[in-house]
Amino acid sequence: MKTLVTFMLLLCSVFFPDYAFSRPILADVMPRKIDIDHNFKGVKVLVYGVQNDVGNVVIIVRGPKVNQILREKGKVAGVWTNVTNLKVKDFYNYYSISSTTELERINNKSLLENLEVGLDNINFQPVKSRNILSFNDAMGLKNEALRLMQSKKLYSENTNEILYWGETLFKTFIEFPKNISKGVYNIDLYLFNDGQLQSFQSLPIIVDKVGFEEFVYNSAHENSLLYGLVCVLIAVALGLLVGLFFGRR
Amino acid sequence: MTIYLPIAEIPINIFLLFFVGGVGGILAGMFGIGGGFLITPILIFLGVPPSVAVATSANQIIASSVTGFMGHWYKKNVDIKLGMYLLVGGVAGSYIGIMIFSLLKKIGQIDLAISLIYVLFLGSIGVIMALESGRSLLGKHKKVSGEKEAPNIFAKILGIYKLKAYLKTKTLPFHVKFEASGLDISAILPLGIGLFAGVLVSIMGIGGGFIMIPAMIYLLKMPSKLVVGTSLFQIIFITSIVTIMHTISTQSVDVVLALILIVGGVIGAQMGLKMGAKLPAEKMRFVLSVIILIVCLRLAVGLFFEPSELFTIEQVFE
Repeated sequence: MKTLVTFMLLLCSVFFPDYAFSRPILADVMPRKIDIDHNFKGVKVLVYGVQNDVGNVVIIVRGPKVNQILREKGKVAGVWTNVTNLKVKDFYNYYSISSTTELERINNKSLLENLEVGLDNINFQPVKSRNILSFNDAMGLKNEALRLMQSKKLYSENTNEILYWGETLFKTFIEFPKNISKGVYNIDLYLFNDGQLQSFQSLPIIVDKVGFEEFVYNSAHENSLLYGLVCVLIAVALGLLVGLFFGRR
Repeated sequence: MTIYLPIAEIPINIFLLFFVGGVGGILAGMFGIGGGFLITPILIFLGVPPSVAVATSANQIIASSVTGFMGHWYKKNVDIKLGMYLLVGGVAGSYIGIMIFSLLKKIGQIDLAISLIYVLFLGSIGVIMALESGRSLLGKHKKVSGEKEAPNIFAKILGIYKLKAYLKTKTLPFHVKFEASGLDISAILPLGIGLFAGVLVSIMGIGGGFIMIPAMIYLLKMPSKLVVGTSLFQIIFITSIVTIMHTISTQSVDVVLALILIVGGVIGAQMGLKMGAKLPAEKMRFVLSVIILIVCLRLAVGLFFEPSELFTIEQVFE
């Protein structure tokens, strides 16, 4: 793997010397597509590139924004049950950040907030709900949401995990766990210097269910009635078959 | 070897799933019960989302019910007319059940509802079964044949005797003749029994036979040889309807999981038939009651003890 990467980086700088060196940061990703099949156990994606200018590199992988429900359990009449149900709008279902330095040292808080760089800067938009007392209470649950996503390995923050060869070539591995959802993910590379954004590049990576799994999942969601009929027919057919074999005994 | 379940969206060891289906099958072969009431909670313990466990369990029951029904059909032990009345009630009941299921899912209380209902059912059935079989094992109780005694217990829990005493004082309208069973009863009774069972199929993912059978014997006074075949006739249709309703409203039927459970169940049922013939009935009933109580206890722990994680987050589709 390592030699392959080195080789590809060299190849990159040989064939595209002007292009590579004219931009402050240039990177690529391998593989560009992740297939979820029946024995998918998660995958590590390699991001590698060239940095041609001084500054700190931050690599963020963002999954699609989806609506999520955060629930809190409490004791009601001796039984533990969900007492708070908070709907959160447009919350990344995957977020991984890797950087060459602590984010505080980039020293431009509002810029990082705007770009949603750093777990704390991810937008958290609670939707009004009956059992939440106030907006502040709802916002107070943001840390719980971040913690849960981290424990599911869907959110992660890695400092100093971007490796360098010499001054300019860098690489890092980003882990996509077994429980990722399908969708288009974006790998965003930022180069910060002196509290300013020097350069930016975005690479898409597609996560898709393939083969039989995709077929089943899509059928269930898009042709629900037909899928249900097939489920019933399979069960009836199997039952009849077994009945013919063993029924008369 | 793990297999990725496309609807449950988790990988689970395939042999473990065969084993779960097999256990259900063994119980079916040995005791003539569906086993759905154990399969659903065990799937939940394995990490299958409760809604997927319930819906898929309903799908799996279709197969074992068809097989069971065929055996009774060959022997002409089915009252189709009465079965139709149970079915009409069941369709209404399963529709009501699906409505309740969707509502509970929407307000985030479906897991609680499933656990709570299971703890109540398994707890009361398990305790009474354990007491009765334990007593007869110790020789303090007159031995009765297993088949006749089983409905007795359920009839007790369900308060069927009380209901029967109450019904004696009233005369219900809409009398219908059921020739095959030799009955002349109010249509409201089979409709009501079917309705109640239908609700349970949608919410619990069980066939509901253990509700219908005692009710048909004690409330309708149906000839007992017709009871199982007739209830299976209704269960085939109701579980089929519930499966389709679940695929449409919640998309939570996992066909891969159902297939594994069905195959495991077929093998288990054949093993169960052989084991049941060899082993003493009372001892096996005691073992079954212990299994039921363990599952019940495991569910109760989740309800009554503080969970290690108070928060959960999940994606919603709208």
